[in-house]
Amino acid sequence: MVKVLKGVIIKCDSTVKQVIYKLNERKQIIIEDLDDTHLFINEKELEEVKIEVEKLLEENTYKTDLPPPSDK
Amino acid sequence: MPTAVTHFKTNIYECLEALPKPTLDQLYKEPATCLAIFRLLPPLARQLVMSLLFTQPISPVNLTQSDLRLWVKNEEEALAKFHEALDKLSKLSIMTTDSSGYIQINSSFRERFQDCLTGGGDHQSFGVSCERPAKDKPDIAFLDRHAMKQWEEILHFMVGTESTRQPSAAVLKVVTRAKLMKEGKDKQLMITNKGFQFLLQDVNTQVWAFLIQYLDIADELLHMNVVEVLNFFFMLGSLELGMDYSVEALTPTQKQLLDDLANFGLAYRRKKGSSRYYPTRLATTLTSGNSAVVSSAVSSSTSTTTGDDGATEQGFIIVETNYKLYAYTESKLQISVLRLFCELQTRFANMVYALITRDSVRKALKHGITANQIISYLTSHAHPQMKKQTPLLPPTVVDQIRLWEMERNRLVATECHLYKEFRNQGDYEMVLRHATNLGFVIWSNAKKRMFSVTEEGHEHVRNYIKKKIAQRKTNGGGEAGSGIGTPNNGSPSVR
Repeated sequence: MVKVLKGVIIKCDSTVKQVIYKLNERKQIIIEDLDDTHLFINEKELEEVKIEVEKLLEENTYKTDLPPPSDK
Repeated sequence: MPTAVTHFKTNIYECLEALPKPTLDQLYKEPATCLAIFRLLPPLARQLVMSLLFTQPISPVNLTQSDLRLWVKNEEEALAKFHEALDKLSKLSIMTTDSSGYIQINSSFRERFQDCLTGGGDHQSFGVSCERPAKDKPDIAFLDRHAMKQWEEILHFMVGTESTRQPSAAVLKVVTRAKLMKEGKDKQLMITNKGFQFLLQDVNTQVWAFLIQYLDIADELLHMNVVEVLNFFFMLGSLELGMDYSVEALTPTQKQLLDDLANFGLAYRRKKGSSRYYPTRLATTLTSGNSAVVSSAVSSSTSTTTGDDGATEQGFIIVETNYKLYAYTESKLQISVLRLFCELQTRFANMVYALITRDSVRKALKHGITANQIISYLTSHAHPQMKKQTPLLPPTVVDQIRLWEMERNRLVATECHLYKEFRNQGDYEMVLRHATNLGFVIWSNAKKRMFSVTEEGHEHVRNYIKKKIAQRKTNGGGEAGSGIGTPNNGSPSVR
């Protein structure tokens, strides 16, 4: 029998994929692991995934300590 | 440069070409419009029109397209230009070929254009100047200032300079309609990708882009007649800078228009309801077809009045490899544009010192401004000193800006339907081939016998599978039932 599922396909690099796997531990997000760069996920979780991924990558970005702008 | 713009119509040609023939015929009833459109044509098309204009009423000369071809050099380049000219003329229905293959010039265009060149006929197409001399007539410098002030106010509003007044309703409608700005989360209008592209244009292109958008609105929202609006634009283009013209001769629609155009800085009126109006440089150069002259003329005139330094036109930005940016400008507008993607640090009397940082670039990217737009802005406004070096911008900075952009797109999500659990490879391949041919497939994997199609493709693929099942049933094939099952459409059921 053919089955049809509705959801969202995410194309990403393997780093992001691991991040999503991490999120999946807490909550069922991933419906199907398609291949190295594609994941099929629940569409209701898309926004949260986006935010979480952004947050995690942000934490891991090196920032220079600039002097605060003198005039604002 | 007008060529760089593909996002929105900046070109009045395209706008005119899109008009139906009866509307064009209506337009050609005004001599000023005929002249303006004539000026907008490429040189060869102008030449053709001029050669044919006075022949027909005197002695009917019948020329075919191949006769005209003899007028141009038999070279590829020349012929290409010739065909382009003919194409333009026929699209504007100025020159048409009749059933017997003879070239015809649109009769109302011919008559009015002849009138216009010979000064015949009685029409008020070129504006009626006031008979009584004005008491205190504004001089050209004043008009330039007024034009620049009004126009820059719109631009300032777009870049979100603080302390700008809310522009008029017409301006708001145009910027939102043209998607130059859109409402952000807090109901505040924010500049968009298109809006940034708009800022990169020269003044003349900006004005036309704005007017064309206005034309769309005028038609739909204000119920103005397109012909009257266009006629008015073209008439403004033929007026003389520094002269005063009478409001009396305008139609009610055009009077309403005048209010809005005065708001944009294309015309000046001492006060609302004043009986005379003055076109500004923005208006009178509309149809001159020489945009470079306009912008330099306007900027040089403002340079003396508002202290905007002359370097602004040639470029004023120096970018260093350490992401420091020095902009030699005093113009508030330029600084506001920079603020869209830089962190301003210090402002000096004649220059601004800013930093290009990850956060500042990301902020711009969030507004939909692309890395390429930022880079092309920096390139086109580079200081002459920068232009001596190759590559013009430090590669580190350019690369980094691109990287920051790519970083934002690490995750691409597409809504789709996933098809899986096909009984056998044959069925899988058949359905996949069908979906691929229709261009709906996003991802597929033969080993797993899975593929996904786009939202709009789902209906098609589902129907295809249903059809196949029905076919097999009627064929009475034994393997039918076992082949393809009814697709379980809808809610994701994960087992």
